[in-house]
Amino acid sequence: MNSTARVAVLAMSVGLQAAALANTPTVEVAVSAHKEIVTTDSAGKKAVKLVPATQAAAGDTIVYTLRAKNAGTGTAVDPRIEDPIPAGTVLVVDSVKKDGYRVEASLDNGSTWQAFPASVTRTTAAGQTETVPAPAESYTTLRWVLDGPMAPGDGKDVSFKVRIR
Amino acid sequence: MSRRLTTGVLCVAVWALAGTVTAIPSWAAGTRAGTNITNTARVDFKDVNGNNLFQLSNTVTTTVSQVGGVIVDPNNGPVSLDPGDVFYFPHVVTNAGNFDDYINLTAVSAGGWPVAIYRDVNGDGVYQPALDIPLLDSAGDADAIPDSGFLSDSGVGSSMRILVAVTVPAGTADGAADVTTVTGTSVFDPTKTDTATDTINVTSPNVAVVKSVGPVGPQPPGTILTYTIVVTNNGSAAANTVVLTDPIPANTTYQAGTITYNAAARTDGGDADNADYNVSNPGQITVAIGALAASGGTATVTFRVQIN
Repeated sequence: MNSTARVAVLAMSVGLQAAALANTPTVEVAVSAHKEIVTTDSAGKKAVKLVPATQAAAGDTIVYTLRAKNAGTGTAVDPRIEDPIPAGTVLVVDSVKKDGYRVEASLDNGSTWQAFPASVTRTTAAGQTETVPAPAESYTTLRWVLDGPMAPGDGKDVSFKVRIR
Repeated sequence: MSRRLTTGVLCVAVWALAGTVTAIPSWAAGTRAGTNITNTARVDFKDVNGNNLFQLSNTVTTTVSQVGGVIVDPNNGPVSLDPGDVFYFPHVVTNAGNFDDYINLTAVSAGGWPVAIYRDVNGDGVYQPALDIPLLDSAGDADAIPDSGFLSDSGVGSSMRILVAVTVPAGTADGAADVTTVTGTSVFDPTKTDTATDTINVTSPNVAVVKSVGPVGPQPPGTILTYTIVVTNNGSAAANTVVLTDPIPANTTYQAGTITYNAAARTDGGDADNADYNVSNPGQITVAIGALAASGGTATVTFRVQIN
């Protein structure tokens, strides 16, 4: 190959990349952690305030908010937000906000998934198999699956709570 | 007594058996203070051409702060004790917080009875004077309140054993009861406390003497009078080494050989039987009754005199 041909190929390659970039989806997700502080005013009215959870005690509840947004230029297809339950915490099962997503749960660090809320089968003392809700402690990972497109500029927020062991 | 663990009430019989003191439970004190809890999410998606793409989120970090926690177990008793007795109640004190702490310990009797706290050095639940030392304030907190010393937040080092010695004051009435409350307080967070109780029921003998004479009413000189003395223990504890003494009344003469004990004849001499006249005590009847059972143990002594 001569040098002119090489330059032409290079130019074509750059052009292709530029075209692809123009339609590239980039879904970004930002995580924040807050604590719920219950305050009581002088009239005895209770209010829940969220403060950043830079510090929390064992037994406290942390609210995790996941803000997903397509910051790219192309449509994102089937975005899926995945978040492990942090080590040292237990999922508060009824706190999971679906927010239009199909939520799935894993009890084995993402190897297998099932619809949220998860269930487990166990053998009763009588030898029968029964299906029961999965214990909160058994959840390892959650994911929110948006079955469809997310246009540039679109976003979704989801949240869930955990309790510090 | 914590709600988290119910060891139940130990009975006296258990304390008497060496090595059967409740095992120290292991506590899940919570995630240790200083631990960082981190969370990073990931988002997977495709572009319109089906290429797989992903992004990782920022990482948020929450640092676990210290919480105090105290467990004092178990509630002991009730035990039945005599006035003057000292009883050593075993307790286990546990740091249920999530970081190293000291636990201040106090023990107060509701009735103001003398109470002392000892460190149960060998953990056997039994007081050994040469070994078990009074609980002191450790230099770790130096607040003039006796404490557990350094307790970690997990494992064997998170618990220690104490003995709470309660003295029943001499002269305490039969049937009296007392509760000593043992309180553990976290030095890190004094709002975190737990209590356990030691309950004592006092049992003491209560001996009553009833004397009667026959015939009753005015009698002329020369009449033989029979005295009957009934000794009864109405207390809830046995009376031991009970001795009855009774002077012969003035203006009467003891009739030799008339002592009976529970309807059996006794000699007057200082011999093997348990009664005498004018031997143990000059001019008196003396009967060594010995033990009288609790709640109604009784003995009956009779003798005769003649009015001069």
